[in-house]
Parts: sequence; structure tokens; C-alpha cells
Amino acid sequence: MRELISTFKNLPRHFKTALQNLIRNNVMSFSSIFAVTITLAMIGIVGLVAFNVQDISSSIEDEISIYVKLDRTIDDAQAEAVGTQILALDNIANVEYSSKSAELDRLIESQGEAGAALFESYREDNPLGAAYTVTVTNPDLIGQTAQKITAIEDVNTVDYGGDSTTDLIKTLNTVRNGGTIFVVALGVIALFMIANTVKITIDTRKTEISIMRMVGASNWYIRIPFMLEGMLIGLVGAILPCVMLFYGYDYIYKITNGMVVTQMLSLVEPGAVIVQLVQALVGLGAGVGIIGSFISIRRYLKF
Amino acid sequence: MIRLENVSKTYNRGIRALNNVSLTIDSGEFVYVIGTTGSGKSTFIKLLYREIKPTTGIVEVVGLDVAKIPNRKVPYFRRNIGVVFQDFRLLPTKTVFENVAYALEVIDTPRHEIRKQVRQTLDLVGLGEKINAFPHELSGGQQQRVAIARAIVNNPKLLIADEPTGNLDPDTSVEIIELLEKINQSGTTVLVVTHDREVVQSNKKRTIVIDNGYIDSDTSTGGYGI
Ligand SMILES: Nc1ncnc2c1ncn2[C@@H]1O[C@H](COP(=O)(O)OP(=O)(O)O)[C@@H](O)[C@H]1O
Ligand SMILES: [Mg+2]
Repeated sequence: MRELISTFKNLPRHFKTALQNLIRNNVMSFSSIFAVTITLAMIGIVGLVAFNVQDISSSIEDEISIYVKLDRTIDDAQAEAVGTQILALDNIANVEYSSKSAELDRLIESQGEAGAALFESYREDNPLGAAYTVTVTNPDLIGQTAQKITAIEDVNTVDYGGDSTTDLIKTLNTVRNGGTIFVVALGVIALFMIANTVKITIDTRKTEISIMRMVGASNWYIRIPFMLEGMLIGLVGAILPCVMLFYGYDYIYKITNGMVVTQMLSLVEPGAVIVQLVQALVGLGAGVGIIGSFISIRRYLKF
Repeated sequence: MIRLENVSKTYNRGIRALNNVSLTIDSGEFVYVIGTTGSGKSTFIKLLYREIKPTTGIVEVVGLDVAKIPNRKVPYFRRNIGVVFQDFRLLPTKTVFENVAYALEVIDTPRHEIRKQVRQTLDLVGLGEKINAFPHELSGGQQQRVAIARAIVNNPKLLIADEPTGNLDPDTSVEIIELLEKINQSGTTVLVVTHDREVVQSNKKRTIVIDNGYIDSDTSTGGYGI
């Protein structure tokens, strides 16, 4: 309790000490900050790539749907009944109805200029059936869901792209899982790198710590300035990566018009993503600095 | 002030650094502890400020059984004792003023008190002029004066110096010893460890000789060993 009160009362002094040590140990501080900068920049870039991969793959998944053609002979009530049955299945996100005549419009449009001339005459005696476009909640299970829909009465054909779609989904999952592992691994490496630089910084100052103990400084009195120093190193180290991400991504987004290859493979808009990423980097830098200092200094504070 | 009763210290690898040492040092005394390198002098004083605990026996300092002080309380116990080393051990990134002030800051002394006491103490050790210098800008003797100022600025009851003149030339050594005597005259108990018999012979003070972990002689109990 006594130590806690003293700690809070002395916070401004501890801050001054931390800042002073940072400036006066300039070579050591600089190399620590540099290490933090490099790691955070790496995390920032990979994080940004991961964000985009995530976004692209989920937008591709959004496009994936099951196209359900109904029998040509059924009436509107029967068609509606099929819709109800589909909705009752698991894994259904959305069901969209397209009437016989709407299907014909689609066919005509898909044929371009000649479309109308070729098919408009079928309007009266429409050979096409009505259709449903079904989107699923979990694309992994699209094959099973398609099979269940096939079993429903009055359903003529079901098309979801078959194996090629399943393969695409698998690939996307692999990319995403790989990306996640990569980001996590990099995060862990960053943690170790920052903690290690802090550890080296503290190791070079073990006489300093023994002197503090010599004159009767309590453990918290010794620890706090080191932790604050770690935090400052983390924060200063985060500045450059944050600025770089902020302007760099904005620039890339502008010159590519937000597209990678096609409209579908579009980049995530800067704004919110960058704000989140900057928050993460600042938090990571400061947090690892504080925790790293706390852990590294522990073994010098034993009796 | 200090009482050792049948104290032995055995280090991890079976090295017996102190053997069955008993002695008493009263308040206000000035005592030399001499002995060759490796005889156990540093071990003796480390026991006093609880850098280490005795393997057997009782060590009492300022009325406290040192081995029984809980770890958490050790910093507070140490505020009763000033310690000076051969290698000065100043904080390299702090100025002379800050180095001395540090010992007061950690015990929550008010800021204006700190300024006053640090100035007084630096004047006492003869370094009033160097208040804003960094340690590396000072000579060895001056650095040791700063270390002494830091050790006594909070008016400890006991001042321990482990080979304070070990890195200094003879003339400077004499000055440092004179300073320690001056501090003793103001009432502080002073314990000076040294392997330098020259220093001791020029002063007629109580001298404890440690040899190979045993007390060889103690002038307060008769029996001159030198
Ligand atoms: N931490 C330690 N671990 C093991 N042996 C030690 C340790 N410190 C000192 N010693 C041994 O204890 C003996 C006494 O050492 P010390 O008290 O430092 O002597 P002095 O200060 O008189 O030179 C020596 O033999 C030394 O090697
Ligand atoms: Mg020694």
C-alpha cells in the first residue's frame, strides 16, 4: 500500500526519469526503437495484406451461389412452395426468386445485340422455368446444401459450379488460414524481438539497478521508470510504421483505383482499416514495451 | 549497532567464506576491517546490508535480526545504511546532483528538502562546485566523494565502505579516509574495509583482521595482529 501510494505520487518523476534515460542512453534507445520500428512495419504490412485477402475471399464467397432451376410446368403457387422448402433448410442465407419471364430477360441480355431477335418470340410460350438464386451462410457446405435442394420436388436442375467452386473455396480457406498463421507467427516474433531489445537495454544497466537497490529504492520504484521507458520505446517505434501505412496505403489505393485485377478483387477502403491497424500497432508497441520491461527486470529484483 | 554471533557463511560450491565470527561494534565507532584478497571481508559486509544471509548464526544491525527481514522490507532496512564501493557505482546518466538526490527521492523526501540536503552534503564532501557534472567528467577521487555523499545524504546510522581507496592514488586515498573520519565525528558509525595496511597504520583506530574467514585479531579485545 505504502509502495503503491508512493508510486502514484512519483509518477511524474518516474516519467521524467524514463525520458531522461531514453535521451541519455541514446545509442541503446535508438537501436531498440529501430528494432521496434522494423518489426511493427512488418506486422503492419502483413496485417494489411491479410485484411485484404480476408476481404477479397469473403467477397468471392458472397458471389458464390446455388442456381436452382424449377420445372417448367409448375405454377406460381408451386414455385413459391419450393422457395419455402429451400428456406427451411440449414445453411441458407438468402433466397431470391426469378420468374419465367425474368429468366428470359436474362437469357436475352446474355446474348447481347442479337438476343432480342433470337428469343423475344418465345415470350408467349416460355420454354424456361422459373429459378431461385440461393446464397449460403457457410460456403464450405455448399455441395451438401445443393444436394438437399435437388431432392425437393419440382426442382429441375441445381448448379453451383460443382467441383471448381468447392476447390476455389478450399483454396481461399488455405490462403486465409496460412495468412492467419503468418500474422500470428509474426506477432509472436515481434513480441520476442521487442522484449529482447528491452532485455538487452536492461542488462546493460544491471549496475544501475543494483545501485538503486543499494540506496533503498523499493522494487516498484525501480521498475516503473523502466516500464515507462519500454512504453516510450514502443510508442516512438510505432510512429514511423503508422505514418508509412497511413500514407502508403492511401497512395496505393489511389493509383490502383482500389482494384487489384478486376472489380471483384477490390482493395479494402483505407479509412477504418488503417485506423484499426494503427491502433493495433501503437497498442502492440507500448504493450510489449511495458510487459517486456516488466519481465526482463524481474530477475534483477530478486533477493 | 552491529552484533554478529557465531556467524558462518558457506557459498553454493562449498566455499566457506566466514567461520564462526562473533563481534560487536558500538554506535559511533570507527572500525577498519582488513585482510588479504579472498579472506572474506566483502562477505562480512554483505551480511550487514543483507545482500546475503548467514548460513548459521545471527547478524544484528540497527537492532534488527537481518536474516528475519522479509524481502519486501529490505529496501526500507537499507535506508539505515550507506554503502560505498571501490568502483564508486554512480549512475552514469545522472549528474552529481541527481546521483546524490536519488537516495533521497526513493524515500519520498520533499523536493525543497532534497535540494537543501544535497547541497549541504556536496559541500561537506567538497564537491559543491561540481553539482551539474556527469560522473565521467570527474576524477576517481571526486567520484568517490559523490558516492560518499550519496551514502550519507539521508543521515544513515551506519556507513560501510568496501575498499573505498582501492582505485585511488595514495594522496587521494588519505583525503577520502579523512573525509570518512569527519563523517564519523558527526556521530555516524563507520566501517572501512581495506586490504591496504598503509591506510590503517597511519590511523589509530579499532582494527579487525580477517584471515581466511576467521577473525585473526581485533584491537578492541587486545591481541594486535599487525
Ligand atoms: N557469490 C559467491 N559465490 C561463491 N564464492 C564466493 C562468492 N563470493 C565470494 N566467494 C568466495 O568467498 C571467499 C571470500 O570472498 P570475499 O568475501 O569477496 O573476500 P574479500 O572481499 O576479502 O576479497 C573467496 O574465496 C571468494 O572466492
Ligand atoms: Mg572484497
